[in-house]
Amino acid sequence: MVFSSLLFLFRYLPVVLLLYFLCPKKLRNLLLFVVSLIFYAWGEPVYVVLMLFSTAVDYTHGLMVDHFKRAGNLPAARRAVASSMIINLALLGFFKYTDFFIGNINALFGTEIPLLGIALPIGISFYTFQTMSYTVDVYRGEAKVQRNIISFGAYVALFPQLIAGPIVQYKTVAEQLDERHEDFDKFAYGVTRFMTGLGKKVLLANSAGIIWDSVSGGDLTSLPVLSAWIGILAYTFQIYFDFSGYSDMAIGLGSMLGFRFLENFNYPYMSKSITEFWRRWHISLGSWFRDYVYIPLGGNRKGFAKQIRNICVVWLLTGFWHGASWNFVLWGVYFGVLLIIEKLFLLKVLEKAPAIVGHIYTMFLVIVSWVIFALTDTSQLFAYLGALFGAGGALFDESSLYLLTNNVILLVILAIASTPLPKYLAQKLMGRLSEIPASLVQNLAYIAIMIVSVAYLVDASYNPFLYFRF
Amino acid sequence: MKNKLSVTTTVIFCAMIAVLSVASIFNPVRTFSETENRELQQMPEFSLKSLFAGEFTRDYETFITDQFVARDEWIALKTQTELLLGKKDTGGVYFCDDGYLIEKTEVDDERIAANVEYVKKFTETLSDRFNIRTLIAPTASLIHADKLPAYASIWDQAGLLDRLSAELDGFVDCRDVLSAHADEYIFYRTDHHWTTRGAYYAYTKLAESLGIEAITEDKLNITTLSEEFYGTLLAKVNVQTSPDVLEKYESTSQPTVSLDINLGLASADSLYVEEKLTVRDKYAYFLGGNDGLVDITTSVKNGRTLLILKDSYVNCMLPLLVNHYERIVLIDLRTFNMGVVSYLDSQYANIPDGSDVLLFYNASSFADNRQLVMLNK
Repeated sequence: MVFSSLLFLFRYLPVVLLLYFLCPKKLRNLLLFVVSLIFYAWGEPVYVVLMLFSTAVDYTHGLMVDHFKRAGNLPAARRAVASSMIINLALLGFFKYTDFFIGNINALFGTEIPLLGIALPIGISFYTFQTMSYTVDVYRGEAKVQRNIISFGAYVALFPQLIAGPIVQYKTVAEQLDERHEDFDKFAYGVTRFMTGLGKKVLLANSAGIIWDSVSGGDLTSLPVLSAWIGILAYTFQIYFDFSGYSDMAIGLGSMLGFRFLENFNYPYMSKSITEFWRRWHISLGSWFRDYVYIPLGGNRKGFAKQIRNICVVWLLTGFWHGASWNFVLWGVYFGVLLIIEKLFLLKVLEKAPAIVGHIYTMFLVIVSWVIFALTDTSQLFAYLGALFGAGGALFDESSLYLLTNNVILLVILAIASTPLPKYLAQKLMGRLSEIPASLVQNLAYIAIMIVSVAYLVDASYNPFLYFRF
Repeated sequence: MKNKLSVTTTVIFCAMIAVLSVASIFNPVRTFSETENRELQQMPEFSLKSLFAGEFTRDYETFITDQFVARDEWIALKTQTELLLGKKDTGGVYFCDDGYLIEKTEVDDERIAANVEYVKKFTETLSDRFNIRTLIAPTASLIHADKLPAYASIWDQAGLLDRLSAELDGFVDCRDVLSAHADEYIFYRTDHHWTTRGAYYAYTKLAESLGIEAITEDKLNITTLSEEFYGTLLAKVNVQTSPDVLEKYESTSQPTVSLDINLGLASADSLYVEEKLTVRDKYAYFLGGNDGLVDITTSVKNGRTLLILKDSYVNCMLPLLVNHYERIVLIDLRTFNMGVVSYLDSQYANIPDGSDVLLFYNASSFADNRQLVMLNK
């Protein structure tokens, strides 16, 4: 199930909220566990088994790690962590990457091993990463072992962040699982975040997506420069509003239920360097790789050569995490190389240069990166990159002008919405109004977002789910 | 620590969700959308098999969307928002000058090429037995191209018609006659069909090609059927607009007809279905719909037979065509489950050699047609 659907808004959510707040506190985790499984099972009932398996594995491994640590047997505790890692990665590897490897082996050696054609279980990349973080956190003493399998199950399956993140590390919610407090402030904050996210996804991301699809669906070898730029700009906005919209909805739903999840996006398109971009984009993924790969490998503490190696490892993995296809590997390498160059000297240069230089530099490279990200077919990828710089022949044609005139208002709105400006203006306005008009304006604004979003969902000709590869 | 804003926000949100949920649950289930002219998803039947195949959940989601309370009003709100954003098309429809809505057709060049070949082969194979004509009617996106929004790119309909005109024997080109009357009311503003007047001009061209004497304007008996016709394109966008006018054209000495539908499955004694004037899709007044095989016998005693392979564009022209034939057989390949060549050779057809055979499609439905392969089977 996805949040941006009438099914979620007007069947699932009201029932879940009603049950949740009627339910005695002690049983709320059980309720969350059950309704989350239903959320997950919707459309893909079989794979629930997989998630239950992953839950059981990490629950028992957590207990084992804790037991060995208490007994002072650190090697055994380490083996338990390793065992959990291996099982999780094997799950992920089998379901996500098997066909990719078979395909490559076939291409390389001319063999004809049949593909397995496994459908990727939704959200598997998110929940395996979450459960791995748990055993490691227990081992490191950063989180207490969870003896209640229901609470642990609720953590793994928790429907707000289940299918598209953020990747909630166990230690950040450990206490909230057993002891959390729901109130009007948290609920109302959750509502505003959820509405913001819904609007971002349904109104902004989907509208931008229509532009991108119409551009990328045509013949890329004869794509005029103007169309190519409008297309990739639209995709740049689509992926941001879609992804950050999902995160907003997740954080909002979490807040309604009394949780506090960490932020996942912080105006990434305001960055002045690629290094800064990755501190603002999909923060939970970056933190995960930092805490569980980069730092354990030695981070930057073991000399420059090792640091470069560590960056390379992290970015190869980051790329590959996004999908089992070479373009994602290339995308990871692209950012790895840029980050190393920035570490070497560029960051210092950028700091001295006027801010605008950093903004242009960053956005240019980020936009180019989305071409690599969006097109899994390598020949299409290079055709599109070429089209951006004139390989398609014309600078513009009739259809580019139509794209431009038809979407110019939307593109301006998208650009403004990706900056902190709307929030700043809203706060200014709220500051000037006295309490009652302020609350009136705010509530009306969110009601409007909700109503228009529902209108777009009712006429749902286009409402894609972008993370089926993750 | 409760601040008032939090309480109001919470209450408003819960109330909205609750009201819309309850309203949508108790909204009466409709089987058919008049506005959209399509069957709506019904509550799917539950079975473990359909659940595990993902069919139940998918159909249930469609069910909720299709049956959502005040569905038409939501669609209208979406269109208004899009217009506010300066969009010149939405839901596959261009907003054009003079209040025209014109369909945005996506075509596949390979399919077009294949369809051209099917028609050529059909013509070549049967031209010594029958007198074959192909009429591919231009649509509003070609004839009213000047009304489209600036820079709107439409598929190359002219290219298709040029090609047919150059390569196909018996091609009836209606572009000139329609363009010459482009300032008249020849296409509906809210529907993808041509008006009966548009069809009349094409009819004169067709008559010329078939060597029959077209009914002249002074011998026409024109009746206004409805001034409240809201067409299928409007349904896709649901904007406020004035309705179209539906007319029928007959001759002053209109013959009587009797229809045999799908080999005796049904029969009728009129080309019209009066009840359709009370529903949304009033164009279906002509012939009622698109049955696979309709065999019409008229009171004209001239021994001539016409076979038409068709879409719905010809429906409003039929009242004129029946003036010239003793028998007209209509085949709609979308619902006719048989190859045309096998049909012609079968005992059911009984179409004498030397009869007129007409392929009659509008350019969009020709370009997107998936059944023309059946012509040669």
